Amino acid sequence: MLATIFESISTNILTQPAYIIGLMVLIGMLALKKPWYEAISCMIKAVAGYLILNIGSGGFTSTFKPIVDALSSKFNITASLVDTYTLQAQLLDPANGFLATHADAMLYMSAAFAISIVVNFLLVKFNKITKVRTLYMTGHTLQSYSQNTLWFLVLISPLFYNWPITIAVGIFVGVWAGTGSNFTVEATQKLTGGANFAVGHQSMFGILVVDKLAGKLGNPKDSMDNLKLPGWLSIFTDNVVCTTILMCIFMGFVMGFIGKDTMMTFDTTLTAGTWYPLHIFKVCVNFALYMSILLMGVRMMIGELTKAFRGFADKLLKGSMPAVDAAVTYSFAPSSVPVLGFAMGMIGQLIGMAGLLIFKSPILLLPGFVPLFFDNATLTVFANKAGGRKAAIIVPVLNGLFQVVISLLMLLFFQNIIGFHLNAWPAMFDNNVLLAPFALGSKFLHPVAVMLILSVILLGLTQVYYRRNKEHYWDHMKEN
Amino acid sequence: MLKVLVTCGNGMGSSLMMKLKAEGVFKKLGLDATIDHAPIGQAVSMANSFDLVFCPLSLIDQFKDFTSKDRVKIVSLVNVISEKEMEQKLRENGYVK
Repeated sequence: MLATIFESISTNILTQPAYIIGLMVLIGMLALKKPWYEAISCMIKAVAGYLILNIGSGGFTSTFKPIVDALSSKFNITASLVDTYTLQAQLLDPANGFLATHADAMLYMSAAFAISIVVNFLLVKFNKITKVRTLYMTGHTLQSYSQNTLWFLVLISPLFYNWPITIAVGIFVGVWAGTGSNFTVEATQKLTGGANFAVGHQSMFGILVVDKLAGKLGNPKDSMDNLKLPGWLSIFTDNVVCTTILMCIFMGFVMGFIGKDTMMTFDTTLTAGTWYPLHIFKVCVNFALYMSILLMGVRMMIGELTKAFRGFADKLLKGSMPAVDAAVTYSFAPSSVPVLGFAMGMIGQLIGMAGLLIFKSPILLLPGFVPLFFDNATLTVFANKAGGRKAAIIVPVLNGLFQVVISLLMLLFFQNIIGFHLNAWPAMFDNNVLLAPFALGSKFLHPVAVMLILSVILLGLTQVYYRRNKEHYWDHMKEN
Repeated sequence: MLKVLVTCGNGMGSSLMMKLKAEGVFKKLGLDATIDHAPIGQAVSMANSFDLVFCPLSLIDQFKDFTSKDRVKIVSLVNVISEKEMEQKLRENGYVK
């Protein structure tokens, strides 16, 4: 009897990701003692957000699939993007994604997400020992850490799909978020003139590295201030426009390369009478369309989730520092710097992609908006501060190249060793230096051991970092 | 009731923080307001159905077609998550009596 009731709950609620998200938001809002009507409205928005996201991810992957299939059948190569949301779309694809094969995965992913917030909170609470000062506020990236780590583990071995590993992932992600954002405090304070926030995003370790090394590349006094970039470059700051243009150029090239006849056998919407260039344009605009739908869903869902869970931490921890989206720092740099980072990163990626063609790589890589813009713009803002214009040009070129190299390595690893084709690698700096070794390591060692090793390294580095910056380490607490 | 829009590049991380901070500031100043957040591309096209837009200084160029004749007032922020700066800008623009 009890078993049937539980099974009924399980099939009707626990395996329905939208309701899991809704429930999490409802519980969070009620625990924050918000009025019931506000809690219900937030719950509805979170559920709707998830359902919208589903449409976006399903549409995105089904648009991409015929192209990948056609490429692999005609030339025996595959294609992937250097992108974060393309990967998320594949993960959440209602037809073939992680949630389609593991119906209750949203329960695990939400649990890991919630645990990571608690762990980050505890690290700050006991900052006398841990030396962690920052609370990671950027919900959508925190959630993607949990999602990606859990999904990669299941791809590596189905045995890794269980509660103990989920809890370990939550702890690992909490340590990643807490220590990583803590490393950005000094660099961000220097950039903003003491605005008392840190960066909590996917380029935190990149900021630390750039802040240390950029000084060796150039002179900080020789800043970008006087540079006037051509006005047309500014259109790339808009996500939809940028995605459509990038897709038209690169996907157009790939689809032209495949040819109409081959494409027709994989894409039923393409008929002999259709003009091929117009069809290509339609496909590229569809990418941008589904990307916007996906982002709209994420925005609604994460907005509510963040409201429900961040309220706690914010209230309970006076004197802690918020770690926020990297884009907040862009206003503190000369206005040309973020766009310059994008353009230089593009050059770096193009050099890498040209290399792939020359060396006949079995995987074709295409640029995606988020790593290209946000990763490179962020690092460039800090490079310009610490090393002036020379650093602001060299750093994003190198990082663009680095993004391509790690993407290729990881996509080959998943394709040839795990036997799974990823549509993208989320080539943000932190994913490249943490998520990549985590995935590689988990193939050869037990994932809990890998996470333990990485967590110990991160916490140890925080102690070293504290020793080096002792003098002004707790300054922000005085002002608050 | 003041209709306020906060915006950032992707409409994801920064603008959500801006929204949470702005809600606090408006409440503190006793101003009745609803606050929405949106990515910059959308924000520009829907700005005229709002009374006030907060945007990061780095994106202010996107709003260059708006003039004092428009219903909406565009206000840029250097530190988009600073409650102090939001309050100061609200005072400068005469929203606080």
